[in-house]
Amino acid sequence: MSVAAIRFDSLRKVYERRRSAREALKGISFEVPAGEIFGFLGPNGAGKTTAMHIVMDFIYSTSGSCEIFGISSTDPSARARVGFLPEIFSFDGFMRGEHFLRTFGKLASRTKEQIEAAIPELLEFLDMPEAQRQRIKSYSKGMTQKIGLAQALIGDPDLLILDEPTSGMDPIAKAKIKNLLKKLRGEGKTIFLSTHILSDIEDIADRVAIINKGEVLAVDSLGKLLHVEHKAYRVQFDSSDNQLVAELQSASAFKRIAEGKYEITCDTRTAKDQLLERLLKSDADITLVRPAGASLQHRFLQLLQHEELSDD
Amino acid sequence: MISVIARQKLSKLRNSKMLLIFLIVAAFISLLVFLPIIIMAGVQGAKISGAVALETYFGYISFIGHVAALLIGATCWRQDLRDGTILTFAARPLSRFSLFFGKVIGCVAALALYFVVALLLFGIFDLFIFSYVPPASFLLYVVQQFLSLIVTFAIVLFFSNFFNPVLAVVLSVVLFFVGGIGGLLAQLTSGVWQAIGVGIQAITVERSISYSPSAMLGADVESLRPIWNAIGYFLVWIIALVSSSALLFDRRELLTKRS
Repeated sequence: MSVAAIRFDSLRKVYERRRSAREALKGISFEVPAGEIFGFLGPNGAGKTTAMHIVMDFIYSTSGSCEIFGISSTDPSARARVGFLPEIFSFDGFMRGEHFLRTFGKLASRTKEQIEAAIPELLEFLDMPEAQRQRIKSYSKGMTQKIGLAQALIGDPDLLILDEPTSGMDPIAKAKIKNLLKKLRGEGKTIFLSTHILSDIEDIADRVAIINKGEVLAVDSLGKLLHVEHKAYRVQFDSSDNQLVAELQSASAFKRIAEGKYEITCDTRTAKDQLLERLLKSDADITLVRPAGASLQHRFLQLLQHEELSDD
Repeated sequence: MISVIARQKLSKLRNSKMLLIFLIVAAFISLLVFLPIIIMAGVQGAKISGAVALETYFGYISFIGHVAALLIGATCWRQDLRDGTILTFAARPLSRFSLFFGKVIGCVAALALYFVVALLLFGIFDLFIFSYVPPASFLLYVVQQFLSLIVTFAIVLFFSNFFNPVLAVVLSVVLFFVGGIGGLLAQLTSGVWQAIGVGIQAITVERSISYSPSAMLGADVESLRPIWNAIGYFLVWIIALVSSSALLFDRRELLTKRS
């Protein structure tokens, strides 16, 4: 059996203040298997960053333990195989990209040759070769986040811990980061990333943990987490055929979304199949067929007991 | 690993222009100081004027150096925690001690750089104006002055474990003044007040320099002994303050706004 990349065991964290105490983590336990993209989901203030900062040994747990590839996270050597990107990455603006990466390459115990070879390669990989000679202070927000990712990757880590990696990025940069993460998974790396933006990981994560108010509500593969007893199906279609629309309007869950765009929720698989057959015979354009309540957002809101906010 | 962090800290301080500003101020003040001494040289001779210039110049350099030491010490790791850059370092397989000592060495190197450039500046003035060669024992004086700056740095570094940079600087300055009062009391003839003064000096890390350069002119080995004692005293305090700060830093949580 392979060692888990990260293992949380009854991890608890209480922030003590002078007159109050706040329990940020209430004894969380789960494992992040090696070689997967693991999404750590939760609303703001759920305890994601606290958990990540304990893994990185920035802060200490009140009780419980945390391991990285079987080594206690309090041991600095545990971080030898880790690359970390904080949520809002910032670094000294006077440094040029290459100088910055060289510094962190040295701290990752890489040889001079390895560093010099890795710098242009990484910047090319991140689609920002021009950043090599530029000072960090002249970077855009997306570039800053990417150079942060480059420093996390310069040591060729087996585990990447990314705290809200797409924070503040535009949709194109986000898509590029997603592709990059898929590529890294393909190279056998483990990616543990936290986010509260579900669309960031819905199509890339192998497994997710959902956390709220310091408690883990669910940990499973994305497929299993979204597997529900699909009693209902949502079918969306575009049609200008008034006769068809009039015919289908009698269905109990008929909904007009916009001009010429409709949605019907079928209670059974048979009803769904019959509807699809009818639509295929007409000139209607079927735009969506999905089990109702099967999106990550729906499941997330369901677990957080805010199901009423779901679109599904 | 420590050297990489130290070099990065030194570049950060150099690029902050803080050192440059201190050096410009030092050069400006020294020019003002030298003008009356140059006039005096015509009356009293270059050698005496050279010694007076050396003493006066180092008085100012030392004062500005203490201000630099206070600012650098108060922000040694605090600034990095505030701007979040410390997390990027702490994420590497480094012990907290390596991280701390890397930052401290970088700061001490910055102060050393300031001191060396200040020395060179004086050397240039001296060469062209006074043609005065200080005695070899002057080096001891320089070491003592530099260690005095490091003591100031170590005090504010220690306070910065408990307080924000501004408060740490204020407390260090208060300590400095209380030490000065202790020094005054220690000079009183009354035994009780003298004892109190010596006591205050001890607990406030009193940093008065044992001998001025002019007193060292023609000094014998015996009269240099107090300088050696002062150097030893400074070193003991530096080691005590920096190691306690390292231990406190090791147990510290690197809490950022997002934690």
